[in-house]
Amino acid sequence: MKTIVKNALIALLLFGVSGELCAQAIRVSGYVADSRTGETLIGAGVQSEKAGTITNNHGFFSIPLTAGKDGAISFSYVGYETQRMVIKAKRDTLFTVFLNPDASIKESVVTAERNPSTGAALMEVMDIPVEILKTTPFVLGEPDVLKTVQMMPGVQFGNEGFTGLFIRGGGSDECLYLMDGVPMYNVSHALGLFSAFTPEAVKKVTLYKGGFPARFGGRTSGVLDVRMNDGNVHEHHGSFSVGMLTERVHLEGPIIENKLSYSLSLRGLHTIILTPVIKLAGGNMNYYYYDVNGKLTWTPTERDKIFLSLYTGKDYLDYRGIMEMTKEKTEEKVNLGWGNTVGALRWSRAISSKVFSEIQASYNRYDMNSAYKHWSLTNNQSYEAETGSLIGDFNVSGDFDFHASDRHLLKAGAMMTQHQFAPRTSFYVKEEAEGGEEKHADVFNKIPGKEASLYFEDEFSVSDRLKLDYGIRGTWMNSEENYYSIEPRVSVRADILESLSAKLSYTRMSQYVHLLTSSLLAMPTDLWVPITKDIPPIISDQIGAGVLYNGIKGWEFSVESFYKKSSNVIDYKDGASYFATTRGWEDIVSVGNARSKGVEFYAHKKEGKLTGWLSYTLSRSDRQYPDGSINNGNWFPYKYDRRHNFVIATTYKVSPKCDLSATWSYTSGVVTTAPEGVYEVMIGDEGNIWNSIIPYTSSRNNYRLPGSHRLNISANFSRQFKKGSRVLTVGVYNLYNAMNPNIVFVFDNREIDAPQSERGKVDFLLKKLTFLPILPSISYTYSF
Amino acid sequence: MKRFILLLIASFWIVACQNDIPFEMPDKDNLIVNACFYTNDDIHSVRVSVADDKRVAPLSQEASVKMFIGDDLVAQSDSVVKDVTSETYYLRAQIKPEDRVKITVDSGDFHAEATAEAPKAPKFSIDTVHVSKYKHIYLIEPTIVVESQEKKSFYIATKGGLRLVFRNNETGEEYEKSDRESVWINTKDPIFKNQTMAFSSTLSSDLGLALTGLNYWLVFSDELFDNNQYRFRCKNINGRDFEKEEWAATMKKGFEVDRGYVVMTLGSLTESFFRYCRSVDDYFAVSGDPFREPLIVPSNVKGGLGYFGIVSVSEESFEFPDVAEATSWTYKNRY
Repeated sequence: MKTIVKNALIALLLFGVSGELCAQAIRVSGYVADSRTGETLIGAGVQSEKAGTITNNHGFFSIPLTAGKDGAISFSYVGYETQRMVIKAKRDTLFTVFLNPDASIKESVVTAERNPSTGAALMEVMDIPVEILKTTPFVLGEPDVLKTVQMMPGVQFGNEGFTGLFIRGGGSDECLYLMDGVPMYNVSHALGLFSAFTPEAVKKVTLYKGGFPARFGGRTSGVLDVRMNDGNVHEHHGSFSVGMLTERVHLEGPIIENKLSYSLSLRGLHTIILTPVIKLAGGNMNYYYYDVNGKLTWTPTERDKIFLSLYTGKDYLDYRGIMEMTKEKTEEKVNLGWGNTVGALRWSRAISSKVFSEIQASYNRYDMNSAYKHWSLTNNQSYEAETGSLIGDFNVSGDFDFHASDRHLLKAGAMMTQHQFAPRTSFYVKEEAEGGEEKHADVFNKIPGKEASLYFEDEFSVSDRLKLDYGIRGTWMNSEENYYSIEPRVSVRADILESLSAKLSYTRMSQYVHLLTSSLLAMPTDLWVPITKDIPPIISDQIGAGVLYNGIKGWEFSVESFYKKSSNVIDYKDGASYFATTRGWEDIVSVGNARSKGVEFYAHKKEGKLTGWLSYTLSRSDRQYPDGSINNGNWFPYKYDRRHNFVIATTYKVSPKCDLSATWSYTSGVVTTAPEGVYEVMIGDEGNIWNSIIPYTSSRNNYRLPGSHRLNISANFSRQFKKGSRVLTVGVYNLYNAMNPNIVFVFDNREIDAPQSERGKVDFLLKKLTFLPILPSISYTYSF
Repeated sequence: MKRFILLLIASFWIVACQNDIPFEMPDKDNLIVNACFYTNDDIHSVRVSVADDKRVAPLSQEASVKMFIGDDLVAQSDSVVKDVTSETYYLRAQIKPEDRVKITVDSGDFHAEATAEAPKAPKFSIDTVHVSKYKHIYLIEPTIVVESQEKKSFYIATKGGLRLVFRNNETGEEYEKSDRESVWINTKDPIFKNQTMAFSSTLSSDLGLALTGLNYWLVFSDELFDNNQYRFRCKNINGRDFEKEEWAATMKKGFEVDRGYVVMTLGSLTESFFRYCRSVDDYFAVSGDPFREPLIVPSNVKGGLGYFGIVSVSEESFEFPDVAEATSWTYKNRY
């Protein structure tokens, strides 16, 4: 295997750079940054007469010029004035370019941007502008990164109003969430109502739906690459926001001007509204969440940057109450907590004009614990159940960019991770009545894992009109068993006309962790579990194709299609229940196959007073478990299969002080399993058959609920003061109060102790719970 | 926990609304046919009812139920017993392993049919038997060796666990006490792996034991029977209860509680029948749990709903050995 990888890398290198390395050119390189804050700009366009490129995740660029001759270079970035420079250099040169924000276009170009990469990355990759993330309110006026991403074509939400990205038919665990390059597991707060990314701290969000570069791995459906602010290197600034549910504080500034900066964001839930509501609902409950996001950026030399990042977020809930039923009085106590802690130390260096490196060491800990205790005050019986999931990842990685020539940008890197997984389920029953008994079960698996990967990729400009990104990633993981995966990645982009491009891609991805989710509702209590000797890694192959047209000024149109096939996905077996199982998780899951396909249409208007986009996705996603433990081994629609997904998002700039926005979305109803008839089952021996009537269903997820749709509106009112500014945001979530379902279940409405004459009666109902009806909101942000 | 989570979700945000989704099951009437035939019986029952979206009830018009082996008509219903929701038709015929059996049900406009194949009967032998006794409770532990067949070709069942037959030493008369005993099986045995047990897992599997009730079968996949020895522990014979049974007073005269022989019965099922059994058992195990995954209970009846399956049965017996009284034991410290 090693030989294959080695030979492949050598072949790719030879193929990629032959004939290019000897070209007579020098290179100018450096960083592109915001002139006010010193914040580097990711994805800024850099164009010379000979070549074009974009800045990487550190704002770094490298572009060839002819030695000793005047060379014109232009630097551009959405929302900034384009800057043109004429450079005459005799040798490789490194400098920083500062771009000025352009107030005249700032407010009108706020919609999602295609990544203007000069490589083949176009379509399947979307930059989500930070302006939208920070100003578009969702539930109760809270802006949210993941909810904004959910409005993009090809992305589904799992449950109405909740976070979690379901990209091109994959599960939420199949999306790689990266915070400054560090993978995160659970990125939700408040049972999924908010995501863990504090909007004020976010600098750049990029979504990959397919055509994944070889540098990404570990998940099979998508990558959300979130980059956080480095901090203003010139002045101290900050903001304070109060919304219906949370307070947010963001501070940033220099510790040593131009050398050392900080960025600190704090967010917490206030309980002014929440606590009385819970009390009204009869609960004795305490709930809070917070997150802290801090970053120190040190620039010791022009070539070096050192980053120290820390994120910690935690949700905690406890409840204690007494419930009285007809024959029994019980006391119940629940504790539920989950959170991430991520620490990372990174060192990036422009080794030369051609080579850029980043070395990173990080630690990521995800911890979830839920405990439930129930006492029967009537019969002295007690019951305890506990579930938990603990993951600790220690990761070391190195990434290198090598600008081999004006046609080749080579990237290579390696990563090693030490995992520690500890999924746990246990329960304990104690009965103190006469003849009582004790039962106890504890299934606690501590599973260590080692993972390593190596990648190589080349962004190859074959000609001015043909771009090729190709690469390969090799991964290995040991977790009870050794698993290997070789993952080829290829994307080709052809600029057929000046304003018309086409793209084709193929990628193979592998995933070494699974998330076990109830089919009813994704919960923080869902278990992250590693691969084991019986549960192999998910392997996914995806092909994508698309065309992009931007021939109309200020508009962009695209059509993309995909087909994806995955093996070794897991799900709970038919009838399995997550709670209080006495068996280990491996005994109640099944390993199977997934397939999905779809077409995504996207049109967006980028300029003018009225901006926005329209997206439509037609897709299908199915699963099959050949061992017959789910749906008798037949294919069935995956729980997040949504055939139609339609979004219109618009923003209208009324004046410099006021803008209005509206979002309307429609998505096909979720699939659920509902009775098609009734069935009297046979159990027991002849003459003693139970007279039991149960609902009959021919297949899993046989019933599609009515579609979900909602209209959100909001208005931002800005005002400038001497020393700062404020934005007052008012909005209404779900304006016309569509009662979209969040949970649907079949309810057997028959009396348990029905008389003999009623035994044949049938009364099955389909119940739904709607969490998010019409919700007006107001929030206030003061920035200084 | 489940109730709490629902309560939590429902009350968590400002207004959680619950209502019913307009939903109607198809209003067409379905004929429901259920039957399980045993190769060691010569009388078989077919249970028939009719269901719409409101209720399950007996047929309004008596049905004609026929049984075919291959293409040959071998039996036709000759008696029927009605209850609240259905009626049971009886057929007389002998089925052999590997027979292909079809049943048809006709009533008015209804016509339904189902076909099942009798699998090969299991081959097993009783190796050793260990019996211990404490007060009036006997613990019978036969060790059996089951011959492994082609994987998944059959499923093993123990019908009613072990049947104990009492022998009257004076008359030689035998009294089978098959509907009173229960079998306890250690769930830590390999046979419980991979959720291969079907019936009875609901009753007390949390105890680390499984219990067969009155007429239940314990059903195991033959994947487990790999020519290794498995021991069934049978908590059997409550002598005190037996002595109290007035209705048996005349019969038990001359019987000795610990004299007789034990009949062990194993049956084999087809894989699809096994899945049916397991899904039904799972349904009752998790019924009422809102967080359980959905269950598909299969149907193999054309023109209706229900299931028709055949169990091929083998029996072996052993003499009740002499027993020394133990000082004490409970199932807790035994397992």
